Amino acid sequence: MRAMWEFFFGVGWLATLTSYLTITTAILVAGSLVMMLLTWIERRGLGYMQDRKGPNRVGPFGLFQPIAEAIKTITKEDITPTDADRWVHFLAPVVILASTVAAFAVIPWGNLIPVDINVGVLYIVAVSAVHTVGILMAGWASNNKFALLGGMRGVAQAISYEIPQVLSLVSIVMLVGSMSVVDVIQNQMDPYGNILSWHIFTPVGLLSFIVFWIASLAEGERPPFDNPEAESELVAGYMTEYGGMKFAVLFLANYLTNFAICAVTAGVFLGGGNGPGSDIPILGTLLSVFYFLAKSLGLFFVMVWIRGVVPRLRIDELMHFAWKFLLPLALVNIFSTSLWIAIIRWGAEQGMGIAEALGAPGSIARIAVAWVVTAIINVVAFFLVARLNATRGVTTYQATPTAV
Amino acid sequence: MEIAFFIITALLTIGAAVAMVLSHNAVHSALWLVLNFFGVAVLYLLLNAPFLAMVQITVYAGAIMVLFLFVIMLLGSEQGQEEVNGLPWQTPVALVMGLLLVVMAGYALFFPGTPVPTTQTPNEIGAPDILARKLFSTYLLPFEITSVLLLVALIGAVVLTMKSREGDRV
Amino acid sequence: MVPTEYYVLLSTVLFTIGVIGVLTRRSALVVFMSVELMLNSANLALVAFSRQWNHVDGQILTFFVITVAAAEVAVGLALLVGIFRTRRTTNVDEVNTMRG
Repeated sequence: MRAMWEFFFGVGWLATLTSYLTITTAILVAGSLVMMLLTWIERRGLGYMQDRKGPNRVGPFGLFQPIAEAIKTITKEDITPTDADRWVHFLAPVVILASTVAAFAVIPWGNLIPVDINVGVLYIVAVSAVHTVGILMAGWASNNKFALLGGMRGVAQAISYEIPQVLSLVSIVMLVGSMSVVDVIQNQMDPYGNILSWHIFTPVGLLSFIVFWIASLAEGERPPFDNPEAESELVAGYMTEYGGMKFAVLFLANYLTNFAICAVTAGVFLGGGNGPGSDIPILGTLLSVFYFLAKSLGLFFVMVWIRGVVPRLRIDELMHFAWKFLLPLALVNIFSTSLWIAIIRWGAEQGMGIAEALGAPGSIARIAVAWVVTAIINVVAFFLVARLNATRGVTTYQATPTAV
Repeated sequence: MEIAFFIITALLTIGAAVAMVLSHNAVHSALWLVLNFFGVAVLYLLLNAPFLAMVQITVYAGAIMVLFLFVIMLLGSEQGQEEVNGLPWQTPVALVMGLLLVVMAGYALFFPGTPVPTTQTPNEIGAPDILARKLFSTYLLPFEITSVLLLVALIGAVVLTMKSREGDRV
Repeated sequence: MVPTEYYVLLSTVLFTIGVIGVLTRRSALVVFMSVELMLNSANLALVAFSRQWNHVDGQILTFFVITVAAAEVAVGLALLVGIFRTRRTTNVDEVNTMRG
């Protein structure tokens, strides 16, 4: 990219600037287009699951419905409540959208890599943490009790689910030995094009995927974890006092977050753009983008599916689920990841002389033993934690008796 | 180029810090402080410490400041009860002493007795693997102590905010 | 490359703003934030020195400072919530007596 612009300009820094601007524009445009597609998938998919049609009037299969709605929201009046904190109210959607879009800087679209930094995974965690500040700003500045309650719920939920989410990524980072997203995807490349080298097909990766996916649903405020904007309780949560373009920005950020979650999951656990033929020079790039989008949109369809099937959790159940179910599983998973690494890669000098009996590091026998050991640990941990939660963790809500 | 970037970020950071101290609304103070932490994170990036920059954003902007904002909103104490000021003479003294501190530090920095050698070697010391290697070998004991400290803080926070059982709300 | 002196001067300025904030503001929350600002400015100086001497130790110390700051904030804010429950204020001058 930079070389191309250097050819046009002949000046170094201008070429660098232009190449990054081009990448940014491409990400923003592609992001908005994908967001429109996602809203269409969600509404049509939900309609199909609920035995109704969904939007089908504008364009073929209702594909232009998002465009019509975009025009509608842009032309609406921009309203700020009288008692709202004007600046914070205005800045909240900006902060939320910025933190969401920033995550796309390190997510590779197949073989197209915007930026590769050596702390990529941590970068995604960092910018999505800023999202929380935006939610609190929106909830507080609206000066509305529903908005504030929604904001508080959103933050309590985001902070709680961030911990299992990050801890499940820790096991993947341990497996790969690098925090670069590109390295994580490269690690799942198999020279024989074998999809079994994806992280999800190892016991460690599978448990990590389950924890990460559920925690991400909560981070992206997807049903069944959509308590911050539960429409039957809180009108629209922290978005209550937003209208017109500001609401559209919040909506865009919401769907972009969901897409970022799908893209990161596809990259970290499902091999990103890997697939048959993705290493052919030019055609392979197109193929890899296709594989990446297919995996991400497939994951998004799973999100819609979950929304259609699972009812919303109560707020205390939601907290218990994060702290009593996902967190112990993520910790056990880190333990079995270290065993996996020790059994497969370590030799006598790291104190794993016993493993030498199975053959050299990376041999089939070692992999088999590691598979069995980690699979047993993870399955036992899963059922143990589930059982403990089923017997002791259940707290039934008892409304305080009031004199009627 | 780099120095221009540094100056812009430094001015932003200082401006955010001043606005943090001056604003009357505690939520505004917290938001200015978030901006300040972002500026410091950018400076870490300039100093070749990408890992620390990310940790700074995650922990400070994502956890500590969110906790602050959460508590401010929970207590509803945005307008921070400034009427009672037990030590009114403290403000001018603080300003004078602060100015003195900056001037002294500036003098000590820019008129040094012995010139400090500057390393011009391009260093990659901020890379996560180098940091981790040092952290888990030389600094293993402090690391473990930190985990105990976090546990103590966790228990302390729970104990301090726990309500007594028998519906007795203080 | 920006000289280390500039970073240290910036760190001093930030530290001073933090000190002034602690001394002049009466809201315990803002005092707390000023303390965080001071910790941050110290971190900045540590990282600058770490680059100056090409040693990773400064960055590791910063890492520990961030951890300690997180622990401190958790306990400090819990204390504030406790004080607010009994005294209905966060003004540091109204909680200067050790009576409950």
